[in-house]
Amino acid sequence: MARLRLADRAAAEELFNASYPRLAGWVRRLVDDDETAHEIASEAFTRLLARWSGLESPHSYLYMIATNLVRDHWRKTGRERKAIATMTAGAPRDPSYHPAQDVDVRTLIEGLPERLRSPFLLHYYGGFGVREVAAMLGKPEGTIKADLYHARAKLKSAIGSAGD
Amino acid sequence: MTDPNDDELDRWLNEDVQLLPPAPGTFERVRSRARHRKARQALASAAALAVVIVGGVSAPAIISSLTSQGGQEPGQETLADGSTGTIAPSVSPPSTLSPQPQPSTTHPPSPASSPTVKLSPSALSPHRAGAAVAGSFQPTSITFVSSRLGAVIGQGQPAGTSLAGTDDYGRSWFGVSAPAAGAPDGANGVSQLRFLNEAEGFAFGPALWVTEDGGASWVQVGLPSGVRVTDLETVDGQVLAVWGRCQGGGTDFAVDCNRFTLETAAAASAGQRSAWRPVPGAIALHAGSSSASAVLTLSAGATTDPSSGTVYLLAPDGRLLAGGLTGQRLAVAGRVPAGCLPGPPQHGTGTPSLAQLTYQSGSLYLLCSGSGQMVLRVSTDGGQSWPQQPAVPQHGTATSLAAGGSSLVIIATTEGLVESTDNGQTWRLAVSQGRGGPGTGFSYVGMTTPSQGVALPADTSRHEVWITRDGGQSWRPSAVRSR
Repeated sequence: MARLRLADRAAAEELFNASYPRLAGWVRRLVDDDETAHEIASEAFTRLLARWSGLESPHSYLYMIATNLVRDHWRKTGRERKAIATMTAGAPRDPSYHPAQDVDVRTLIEGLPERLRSPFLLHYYGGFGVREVAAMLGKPEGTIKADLYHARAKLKSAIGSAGD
Repeated sequence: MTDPNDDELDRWLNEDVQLLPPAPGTFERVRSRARHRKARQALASAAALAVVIVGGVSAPAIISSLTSQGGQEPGQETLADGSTGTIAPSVSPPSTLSPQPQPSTTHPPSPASSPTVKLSPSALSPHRAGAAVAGSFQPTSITFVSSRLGAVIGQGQPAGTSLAGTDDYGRSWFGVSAPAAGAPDGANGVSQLRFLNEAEGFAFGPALWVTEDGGASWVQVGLPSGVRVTDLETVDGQVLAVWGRCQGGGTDFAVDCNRFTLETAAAASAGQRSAWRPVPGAIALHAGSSSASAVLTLSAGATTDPSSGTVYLLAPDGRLLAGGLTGQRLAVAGRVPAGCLPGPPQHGTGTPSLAQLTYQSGSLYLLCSGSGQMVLRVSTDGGQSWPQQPAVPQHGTATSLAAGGSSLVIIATTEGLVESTDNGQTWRLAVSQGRGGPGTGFSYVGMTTPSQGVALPADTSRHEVWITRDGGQSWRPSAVRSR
């Protein structure tokens, strides 16, 4: 038992060291500040470790948790409503926009319907394959492909509207 | 032709994530939070299952609703209320009541709210495997970490060493996984229990076992040859234990000791032998006689500075050693009067029989039984002087001492519970055989809050603990069994 626990701890620490910086950086592009990114990354790891022993795919679980925490953060900060308004009203876009300024695209992603947003973030942003995302979200692969297509189409349309 | 909107989206998506390294110590903080949360979830499951066992036959709907709690959305975990908390159940339940989490293939989650992460059956089964208290439970030690949450250790059927937990201060009980240690027998087995919080617990006397997950799993600490743990206390992330080199057999594991050392470890790493360090000033204290023992008590620090608490160790020769909680050198704070030496330990507990020491609200309380009579002394200067209080009426032999609130003092004796509500000026016999109490008195008494306290009957075959919820004015037995 002691050996097993030590092995678990070592594996958890290894995953933490390997994944935390990228996860926190991933979250950072979706929130406003480093502190919130660290809070969400730490909370995601806390929830992961609380269920550690039974997880088949800890890495997927980690990003799934983080995605939901980001969503909750958006909800709390009222971004979602603002984003929906942006999507529908086509708010004027900053002419000096540069892709490095994540907030514009991020705001549009926030405005996606939830059924499209999670697969979009996990696939295009988290780097998980369609099959993995399908397993994570409990949907058929075909549905995920369709969701990704629709998410992308909506974002393109929103970017176009914002740029008009 | 490339859609420029596609380009913009791709630029955003393909931009490298800038790594954000964690602050130093983040992993340890995360791990600690996860442990505590896991333990709280375990308790929530255990408490829920206790309800299932009671109502399962006549109310299958309850089973269904509780079973559905197994499938949670990763980002939306429901945590137990902070006032409840920890300890995981152990004994397998009747097969008809096994509330395993439903696999996602049986109840597909809605796409928006329940992304599926498959959990192997072992992930939750240790905590949900059952909540039945071992049969014929014979409690020998009890500990509380809050005004609701506690655990009791003892011997039961069929497993031997068993634990039971409560999340309502003894109104109901559920089974908790126990170390595979057995009853005290020479150098082996355990009889005593302390929990620092809802996750970190210690079963000891004479062996030492540690849990970091509220009792779901236990690890034995490999003690040096000949060493037995005779006393142990926890506070503020630290655990301190008296390691005695003893040769007593059977339940007299703390007898025939020739020296004692106070050892300490951070609670989070106490499962590893290498984490333990002797406390300077309290190393290899000579016993003086084969019937000597040592008494350990701690004062918690201020809420704003928990580490400001103090360790007090009553050495076999009567010196009172004191020092900080985190392993600093202990210094001689005073010396207790003749007749207050710790004396031979009580059977099966390691607790000295002739001197009891406890701390409450700035005062050290010392109960001396060496002269054949019980004498209470209260030191308000950290052990330098020990003024004697008025005589304690003789109601048997003292076994344990507790203080609570600002002036409550309770003595457990072989006849009952003797109480003072004025710091030992006057006394009354609160519980005795003539008043419905156990015939052979009590082996332990302790106060958790100014109003809540617990006592253990010396006769463990009564399968009960006694509880007060009104500052000792009244005491009621609580049978340690599933309800």
